[in-house]
Amino acid sequence: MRRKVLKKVMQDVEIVELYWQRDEAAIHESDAKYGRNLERTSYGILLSKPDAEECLQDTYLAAWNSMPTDRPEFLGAYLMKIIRNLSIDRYRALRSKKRYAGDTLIYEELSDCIPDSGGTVFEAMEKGELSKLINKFLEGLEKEKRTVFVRRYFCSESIKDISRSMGIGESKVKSMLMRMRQRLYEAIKEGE
Amino acid sequence: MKDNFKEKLDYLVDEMGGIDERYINEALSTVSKQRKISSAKLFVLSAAVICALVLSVFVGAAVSGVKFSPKNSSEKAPDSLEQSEQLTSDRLHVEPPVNSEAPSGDILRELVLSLDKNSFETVKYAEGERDFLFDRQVRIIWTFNKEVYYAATVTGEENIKKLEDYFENEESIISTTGQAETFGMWVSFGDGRVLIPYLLYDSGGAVFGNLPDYIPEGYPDDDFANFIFSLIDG
Repeated sequence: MRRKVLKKVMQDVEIVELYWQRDEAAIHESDAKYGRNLERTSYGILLSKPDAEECLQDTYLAAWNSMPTDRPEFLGAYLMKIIRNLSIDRYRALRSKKRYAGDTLIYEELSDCIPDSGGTVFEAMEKGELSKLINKFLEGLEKEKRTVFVRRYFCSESIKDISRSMGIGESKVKSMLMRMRQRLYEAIKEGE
Repeated sequence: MKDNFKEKLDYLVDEMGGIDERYINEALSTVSKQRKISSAKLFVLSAAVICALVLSVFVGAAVSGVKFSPKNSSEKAPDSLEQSEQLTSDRLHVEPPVNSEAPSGDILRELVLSLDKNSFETVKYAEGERDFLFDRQVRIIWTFNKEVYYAATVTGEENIKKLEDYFENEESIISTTGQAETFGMWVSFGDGRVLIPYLLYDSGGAVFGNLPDYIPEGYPDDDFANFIFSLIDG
């Protein structure tokens, strides 16, 4: 699916317009611009290249079916949400069939943020409530920290990739993540 | 109500998916400054290495007294093609260094042992800490005492393909018995596959990964061992 792009990468708004015009070039352009990041995210959850590739194809299909009517402002984020959801669904399906050996990284690390049984606020939360709290938490972070957090826990990027792409040491990335998990734990516990 | 821990965790992961698209876009569009700097650094480094090589050739030639003039007046020109070839052959003949001989399985262990350990990265090997398993880097990992696990990253598609080909070839691993050493070697392909060219003699077992036609105790044949050493030694 992925191809070498020799021309200038298209703007999101142009690619979305291609989707609206039902032009299949939309998928090629999406793949050229975001394919690598999307597949990496899926791989970070599923830890299987064939599964990640399938999720990538399913993502383009879902985007094709949802536009129109959707007209996303940030196409990368829009596609990222789709592939993340598809990958997590697939991960859970594999886990329930006992075809998955261990917890995927986001599960392993995010378990630090779960309050103990006493965390009544967390237990009483309804769908969407925690998202609001997380967004508020992210709003209060510096841009660099926020980027690290989103790349790790939303995009499921490896610490090495984050470290390389952001030009900061792996140990610093790890310590930043640990502190942010602690802060998120506190925020959830207090139900801010 | 979210009663058990797993359910809470699923809920948290789902809710994490509700992160504002602005933040996701911000994370995705963070320009990889480091990568650009790295490319520039790589260019400068390459230029420096080329300069150093050229300089070393000239300095080396000056020290050893080789003249770069097209003709050396002190030597008589060869009379025939055979004489010319003989002369060229004599000039080009160099004794091979001791380490250049193809290492057999056990020699490989000795050669790897002789390398400066400080020049290699180390990896965590304990259960649950094997980050290298899925980081998409191909590594040769080895240990002598099962406390420190050294690693050399394998780069270049050709090298990686060749490495995989060796594992495909059953003859590349030779069976052996009766030795009690604590030297182990693994090749992690960074996608979850870990193949074993050199098993720990004392345990003879693979903790994870697989080997085609598993051999309880074995080491790579000469060609394979030589290739591995060339990858480790750079």
